[in-house]
Amino acid sequence: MNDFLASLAANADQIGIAMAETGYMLAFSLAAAVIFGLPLGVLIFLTRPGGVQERRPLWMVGNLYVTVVRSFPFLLFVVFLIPLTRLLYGTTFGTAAATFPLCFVGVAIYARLVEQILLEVPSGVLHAARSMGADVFQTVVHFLLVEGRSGLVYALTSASISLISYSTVLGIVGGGGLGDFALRFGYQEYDYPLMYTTIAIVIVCVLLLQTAGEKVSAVLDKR
Amino acid sequence: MTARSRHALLALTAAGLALSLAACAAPADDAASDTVTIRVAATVTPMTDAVEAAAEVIEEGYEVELVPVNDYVQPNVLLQHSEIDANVVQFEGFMEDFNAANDADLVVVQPVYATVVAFYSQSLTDLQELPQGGSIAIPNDRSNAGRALQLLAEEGIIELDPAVEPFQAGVADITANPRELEITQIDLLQLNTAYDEMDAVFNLPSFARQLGLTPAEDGLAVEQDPAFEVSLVTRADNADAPEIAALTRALTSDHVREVLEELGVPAAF
Repeated sequence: MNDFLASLAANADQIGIAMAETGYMLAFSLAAAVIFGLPLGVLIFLTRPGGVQERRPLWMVGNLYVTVVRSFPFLLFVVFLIPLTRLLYGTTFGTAAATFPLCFVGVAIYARLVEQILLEVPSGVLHAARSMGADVFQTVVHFLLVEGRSGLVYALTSASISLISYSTVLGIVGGGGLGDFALRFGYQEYDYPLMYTTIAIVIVCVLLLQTAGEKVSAVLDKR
Repeated sequence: MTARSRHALLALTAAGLALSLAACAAPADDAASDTVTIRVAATVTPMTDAVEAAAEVIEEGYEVELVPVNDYVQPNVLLQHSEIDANVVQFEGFMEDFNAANDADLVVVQPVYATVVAFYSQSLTDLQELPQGGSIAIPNDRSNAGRALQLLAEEGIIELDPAVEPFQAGVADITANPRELEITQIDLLQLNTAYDEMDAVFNLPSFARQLGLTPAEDGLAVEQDPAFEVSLVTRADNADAPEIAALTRALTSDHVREVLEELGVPAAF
C-alpha cells in the first residue's frame, strides 16, 4: 500500500496529465457517439428489413459501417485512418489527432447498442404511435427514444467504458492517457507499483462511470 | 432449439474441442525424437531474420524454434522463467536495466549485428538547418530516446544535464534548447509516419529501410556504437550449455552474415 501511495505522490503531476488526456479522448468520442451514433442506430433500426421504414440500401450502408468499423483490429484502424487524420488535423500525432479514430469506433459501438435497445422496445409502443397518427420523426422522438431512454443511457455507459479501453492503444500515435502512461512508465520501465497504481485509478474511474450510469438509468426507467 | 440445430451445435463444439486438444498435444510429439529444440525469442526484422537464418544452418542434433514476441519486455520475462532458452532482441544496456529491476541473471553470449541509427529528414540536408521552433520525433522508450537525445547533443542542437550518464537522458534532462524545437516522443512503429510530417525524425535502420532510406546515404547525423549491438542473450545458468554454443556457432555463420548483409545490416561478429 505504501508503494502505491509513494508512486502516486511521486508521479501525481504526470498522472494528472494522463487523466486529462484520457478525459479529453473520452469526452470527444462520447460526444460523437451521441451526435452520430444515436441517429445511426435509429436509422439502422427503422430501415432494417421488416422495419418501420424499410429502406434496404440505407440499412445496408449503415449496417456495413458499423460492422466494418467494429471488425477492424483497432490499432490497424488507427493506422488505416492516418491519411485522413493528417488531411484534417495536419498531423497524426497528439491527443487531438488520436481522438479522431476513437470517434469512429464510438459511433459504431453506440449505434449497434441503440439498435439492440430499440429492437427490444415492445411492439405495442409502435402500434400506439401508429394509431395516434404519428409520423416517423414523431414516432422516434416521442415513442421509441422515450421508451428506450433508460437502456440508452445504460448503453452509453457501456460504450464509454469500452472507449476507455480502446484509448489505451492510442499511445502509439502519441495520444497519451492513463493506459499509455501505465505501459510506458510502469511496464516498460519495470516500475510495477506505478503500473498497478495507474491501473487502480482506471478501475476507480470505470466504477464511478458505471455507478453514475446505473443511477441515471434507474431514474429514467419508468417501468 | 430444434433437434437438428442441437446436433449441429454439438458437432461444432466437439470439433472445437478436438482442435484445441490437437493444438495442445502437438509439441509433445517433438519430445519423442532426439533432436534438442532451442527456443529463441525475437521481435521484428532483422532479429527474426537472423534467428531464422541460424535455424537453417544449425548443426545436426539441434533445431531452432523462433518464438515471435510483439514486445521488448516479454522476451526477457520468458527467458528469466525458463520458458525459452535465449533471445535476440536487445543490446547489453537494455538487458542490464532488466536485470537490475527484475532481479534477473541474464547474460550476453554473442553480439549479432550493429544498429546504425540516424536522423532523417525530407526537407533538410543537415541538422544545423533545423529552423527555430522546428519539429523533431524521437522514440518513446527510454533506451532509444536516450540514444536520440545523445545524438542531438553531440550535434550541438541541444544540451543535456552533464550529471546524467551518456545515453540515459530523457526529455526532462534537456538543459538548453536554443532553437525551441518541439520534440515529440512517439512509438518506434510510428517513426516512418512521422517522417512525412516532421522536420527531422530519429529512426532505426530496419524501419528506415522500409522508406528506402539508409543511414550511410540519407542519415543527417549517424551513430554506430558497439554498446548498441543487438546480441544473443541467455540466462547465466544456461550460458555454458552445449545447445547455446551450437546456437552461437549458427548465428555467427556465413549464412547469417549473408542474410544480414542482404538486409543492409552490418554483422557484429
